[in-house]
Amino acid sequence: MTKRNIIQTLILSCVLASVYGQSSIAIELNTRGFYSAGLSYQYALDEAFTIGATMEIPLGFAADRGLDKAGRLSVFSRYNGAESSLYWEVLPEISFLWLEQELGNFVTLMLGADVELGYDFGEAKLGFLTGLEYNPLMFFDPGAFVQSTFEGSGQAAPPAGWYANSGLNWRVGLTTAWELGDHFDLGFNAGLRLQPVTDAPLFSGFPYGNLPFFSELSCVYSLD
Amino acid sequence: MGNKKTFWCLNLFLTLTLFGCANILELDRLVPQTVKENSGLPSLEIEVFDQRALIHYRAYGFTPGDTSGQTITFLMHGSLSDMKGYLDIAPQLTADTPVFMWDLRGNGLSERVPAKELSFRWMCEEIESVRRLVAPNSKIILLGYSWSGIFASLYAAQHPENLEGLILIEPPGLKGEYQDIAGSALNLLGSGYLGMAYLSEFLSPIDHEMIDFRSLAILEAGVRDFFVDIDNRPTMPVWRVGGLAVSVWESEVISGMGYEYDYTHGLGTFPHPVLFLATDHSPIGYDFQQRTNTNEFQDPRLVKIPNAGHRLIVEQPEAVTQALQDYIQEVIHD
Repeated sequence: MTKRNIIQTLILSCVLASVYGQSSIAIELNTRGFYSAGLSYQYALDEAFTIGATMEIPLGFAADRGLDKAGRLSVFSRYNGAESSLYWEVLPEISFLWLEQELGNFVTLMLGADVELGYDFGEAKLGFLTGLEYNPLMFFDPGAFVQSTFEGSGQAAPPAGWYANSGLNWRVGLTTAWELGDHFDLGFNAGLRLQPVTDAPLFSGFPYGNLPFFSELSCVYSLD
Repeated sequence: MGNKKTFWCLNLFLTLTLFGCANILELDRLVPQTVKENSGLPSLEIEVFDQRALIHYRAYGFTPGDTSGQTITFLMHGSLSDMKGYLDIAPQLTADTPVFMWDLRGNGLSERVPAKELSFRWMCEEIESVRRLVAPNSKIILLGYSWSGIFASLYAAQHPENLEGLILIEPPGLKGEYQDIAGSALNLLGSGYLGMAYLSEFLSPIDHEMIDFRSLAILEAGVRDFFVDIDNRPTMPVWRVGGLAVSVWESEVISGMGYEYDYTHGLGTFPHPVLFLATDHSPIGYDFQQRTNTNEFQDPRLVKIPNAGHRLIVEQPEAVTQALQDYIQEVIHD
C-alpha cells in the first residue's frame, strides 16, 4: 500500500443536512467512484431505527472520460443499539446502480450490510466495522469496444444479456467520528475490502480500482 | 416493527424477482480465452526459471526454431496491450529480417501467471526463454514498446552478445529520477480513475478474466495525457489486456509517491546503435527521451514521430514502420 493508493481510493463526501421532526434531508457532493451529487432522505421510526434512501447522480465533468453516465439509488436502514457509552449499529443497504461507459451499459444490484461496534466518548466515537457486500447479478450490454476485442481472436463476441457477478466483498476496518461544535461532524472509515469465498489472488498495489483498501471521509454540516 | 417487516419483505421480493428473470451468463465470456483454454490458437511453450507457460505468437518469414542463423526481429508490446496492434506493422518489417512477436506472459492471449512471475527479472528472463526456443542460433533485433522498453533494456545489459540491435519506443525513465522529470503519469483523482474505483464496488476482481475486463476501461478512458487529441482518442487494437501484469509492473517502480529504481547498469557498454522512437504529444516523448534515457547508451538514434502521442503505432503507423525499416536495414547491412 502506497500513499498514492490511499489517495486514489479515498471517497470524500461533503454533506449539508437539515432535520424536520422525524425526517431529515441532506444534499451531498462526493467522489464516490465519480464526482457526484446526492440527495438523501431519512425517517426516524423511533430512537433506534431509521430508514432512508439516497439518489446519486454524476456531475457533468465525469462524462467522456470512460464514465459517461452513472448513478446509484440506495435504500438503507440503521439500527442503533446504544447502551451507555458502548454502541452498536447495523446498516443494511440495497443499491441499484447503473453505469454507461466504455465497457458497455450496466444495471446492477448490490446488497450490503455493515455492523459497527464501538465506544462513544461523547464528542467522538471510535469503533470497529465489518460487513458484506454481495453483487448477485447485473444486466450488461457489451459496448462496441468490448465486442471489437474479439475480432481476429477466432472467438465469438459476448452477447447482451444477464451476467452473473459472483463477487462477495467482505469489508473490515475502523470507524471514527467527531463532533466539531454544534454543526460540524467529521467521519472517517478505513479498512480492507476482501473476497473471502474465492481462491483467487488478491489484486493489490495499484490504484486501478483493484485495491482491497477503502477509505471514506465525510464532513457533515447540520443546518439546525 | 411492522415497518421493518415490510422493508425486508420488499427487499427479498425484489431480489428473488431479479434472480428468477435472469438467464445468467458467466462474466468470463467478456474477454477472449487465452491459449491455455483455447488450443486452437497458435502457441508455444516456454520455460522461464523452471516455470512453463504457453505464449500466443505470430511468426513472419520463418518457422520458430528454424532460423538458419539469420537475424530475427522480436517485437514486444507494452502494458494494457498485446500484439494485435502490430499485426499490420510486423509483415512490413520482413524485407531484411524475419519477425517474431508474442503476447507477453500474463498479457493478451498468452497464459496468465502468478504475480511473482511478472516481475522485471522474470520478464527479462522471458525474452531469453523465447530466444532460446525460437531463435537459438541467431542474433536478434529487440524492440520494446513502453514498459517493454525497460525489459528490453535490462536484457540488452545482460545479454548484449545475443543482440544485433535494440529499439525502444517511448520507454519510461530507465532511472527513477528520470521518471520524476515526466511527473506522475497517473492523473490522481481524475474522473477516469475514480470510475475504476466505482467499478471495484460491484465488479470484484476474483479472477484474471475480471481484472482484465475491468482494465479494458482504463485503456479507453483517456485518463492519461498520451494523445494528440484527448477528445478523439485513437482506439488501441487489443484482444485482451493483462490487468495483473500492469499492476505488478507499476508497483515495482513506485515507492510512496515517487520512483526509486535504476535499470541503467550495463547499458553504457552496449555495442550497437539504439533506436529511440518518441513523439511530440507524450510526457515521455521526444524531449523527455533526449534529456534522459538516450544518454545511457553509446550510440543512441533518437527519431521524432510528429503529430502522435504514446499510441504512435496507431496514430502514425506509416512513420513508425518507415523508421523501423530504416533502422533494421542499417544494422543488418553494417
